[in-house]
Amino acid sequence: MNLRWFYKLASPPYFYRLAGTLGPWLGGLSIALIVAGAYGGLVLAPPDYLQGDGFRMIYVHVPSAYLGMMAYVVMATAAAIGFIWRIKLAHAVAVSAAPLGASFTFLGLVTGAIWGKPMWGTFWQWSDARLVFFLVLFFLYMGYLALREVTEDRDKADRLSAVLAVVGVINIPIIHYSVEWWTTLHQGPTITRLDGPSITMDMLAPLLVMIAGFSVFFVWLLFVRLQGEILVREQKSRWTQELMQRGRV
Amino acid sequence: MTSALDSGLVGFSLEVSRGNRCLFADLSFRLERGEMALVTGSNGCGKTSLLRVLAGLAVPDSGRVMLGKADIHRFLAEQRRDLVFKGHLNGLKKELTARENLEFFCRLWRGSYRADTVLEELQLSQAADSLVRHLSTGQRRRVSLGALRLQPATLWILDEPLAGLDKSGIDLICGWVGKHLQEGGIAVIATHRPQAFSGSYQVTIEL
Amino acid sequence: MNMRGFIQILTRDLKVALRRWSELCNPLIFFLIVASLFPLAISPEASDLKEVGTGVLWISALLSSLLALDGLFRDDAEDGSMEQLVLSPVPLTIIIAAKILAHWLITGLPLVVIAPVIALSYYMPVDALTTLILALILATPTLSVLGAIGAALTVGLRRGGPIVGLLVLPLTGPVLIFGTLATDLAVQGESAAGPLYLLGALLALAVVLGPLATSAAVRVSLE
Repeated sequence: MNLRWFYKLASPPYFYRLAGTLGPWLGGLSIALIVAGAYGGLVLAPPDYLQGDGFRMIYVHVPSAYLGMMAYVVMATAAAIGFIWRIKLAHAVAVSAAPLGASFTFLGLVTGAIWGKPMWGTFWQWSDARLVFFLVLFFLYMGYLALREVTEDRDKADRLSAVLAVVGVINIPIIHYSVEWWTTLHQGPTITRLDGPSITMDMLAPLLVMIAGFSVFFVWLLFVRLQGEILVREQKSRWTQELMQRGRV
Repeated sequence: MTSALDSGLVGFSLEVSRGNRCLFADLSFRLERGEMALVTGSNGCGKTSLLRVLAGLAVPDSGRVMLGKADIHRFLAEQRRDLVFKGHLNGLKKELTARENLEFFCRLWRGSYRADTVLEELQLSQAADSLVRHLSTGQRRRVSLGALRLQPATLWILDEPLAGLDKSGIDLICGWVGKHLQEGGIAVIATHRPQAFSGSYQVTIEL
Repeated sequence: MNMRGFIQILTRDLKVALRRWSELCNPLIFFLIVASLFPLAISPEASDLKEVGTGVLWISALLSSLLALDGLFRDDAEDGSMEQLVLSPVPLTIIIAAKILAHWLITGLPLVVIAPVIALSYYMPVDALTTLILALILATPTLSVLGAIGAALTVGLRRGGPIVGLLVLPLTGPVLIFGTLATDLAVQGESAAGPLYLLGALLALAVVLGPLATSAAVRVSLE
């Protein structure tokens, strides 16, 4: 198996240039998708027969929540790769993903609360298992960032936070399956069901576009943060010195 | 010390940095059985880091350490019987007596010496049943090093073992090291007083 | 061989702990104090206490568990014993498992023994006590394991103490949920078999995976 592309990818200067090239395209694509999804969700989709126009919050809430969880998986996977194979760039990916994931999770919580009040009469519902474990996800991000903050040596911080990230990953399936295990506020799975989605296509399509848009947005921001992180970590190397001298950072 | 080793301790191209500072790079050496390496250098130059890497406590940025045919950083638990590391800290529980501490090491490493014999050699027979909490610094150091006699290891890695010892203690430990080398052991010792050791063959690593 | 190493570490840790028995009492006293503060803060009425009893008990147990964590690895790290153990011929996961068991016997088990007394002071029906004890016996070791992960991550850090709670508590959610569920069901006179089985499953999972994560963290902390 030819793993040369993998090793090339793990080289900081190469990845830095790759991120720089792809970045603007990802940015443009994400904005296009989000605008298209927003138009589809806010204008084209018909009102829900139960919730009226209020259901449109789904177009921000669901992608945020989804990204909050997906970012954690990215973070934990990258951290694990960095830990096992000692690849510094993987740790840089994990560090860059963490604040993004935390923000998406926070956004998911806030949009959920805003959606909840007019729809179900409450900002928050402790008896909703999915909600509680989603809050736990936010705390896991905070714990990860706090641990890094408190560790003085960067390599140690990378490795300690990697252990923490992997331990916490068990929360993701718990969030996903909690709606099946406990029946509470959240409805059952809507999209990822074995017998097909239970939502009509004209409501579903903008949602999928928004999810895709948010995902590309995440990758774009990840690359931007990653470039900064790489520069900081490699500040003593020749290639970064050259970059800064040429003024093209 | 009857482990079968083809070659002794070999370090390949070791590189260690602390933070952004490179302590040493491309450090290689080879020690056969019966040989000793003395690691010298000023404080903060990486002696302790090197010893910790050799012991397997820390991982080098690049390079490998092999004991016999096995990579030290890939040692199975059982293989660790061949290695003993004594750092700056004593590794003794203050709430246990000197004898209890030594017996613990002996049992864990499945050594065959008896704790009482070692305590006699250390001239601590009277203090054997005192809690370590009540021993002086020098006495604690002696107990800690006393464990060396109880752990049947081929490789001794000692970080400034003579610190805190009086003359008789120094003579005792140097004697032990000499005996260990004669019996086919290997030693890597970081020290500010290389002249105290006169081993059969010495390699000096200056950092 | 591994079993022998396990027992050696277990006995040593117990011996050391018992010779510092005044420190052992701290988590227990803390448990009593916290559980006693709630009636002052909420209300001393029997009806109110009956309602909050389950929650108070479990939260107090959780917090005491957290308080006790510091002693798990800090001492060994400071006197150099941890280094010696990591380099010993006994696998690190076995060592960690033995240390966690010793720690639970010293700090968790006393909580289980005292809890029924507190429960009665919160007017919990006597019939529910067996379930409570059973649930605590299953839950407190899991808390010890989760706590060990947090303790191992922070033991080498100068400013690590204050964040142990932040690291450990979010992971204890399921234990708390099932523990209180079991207790509430028992209080209502119904069978608590479901949550108890789930607590058992969590314990099994924790016992298998916990020491692995903890030993990884310990090794990094020692680097």
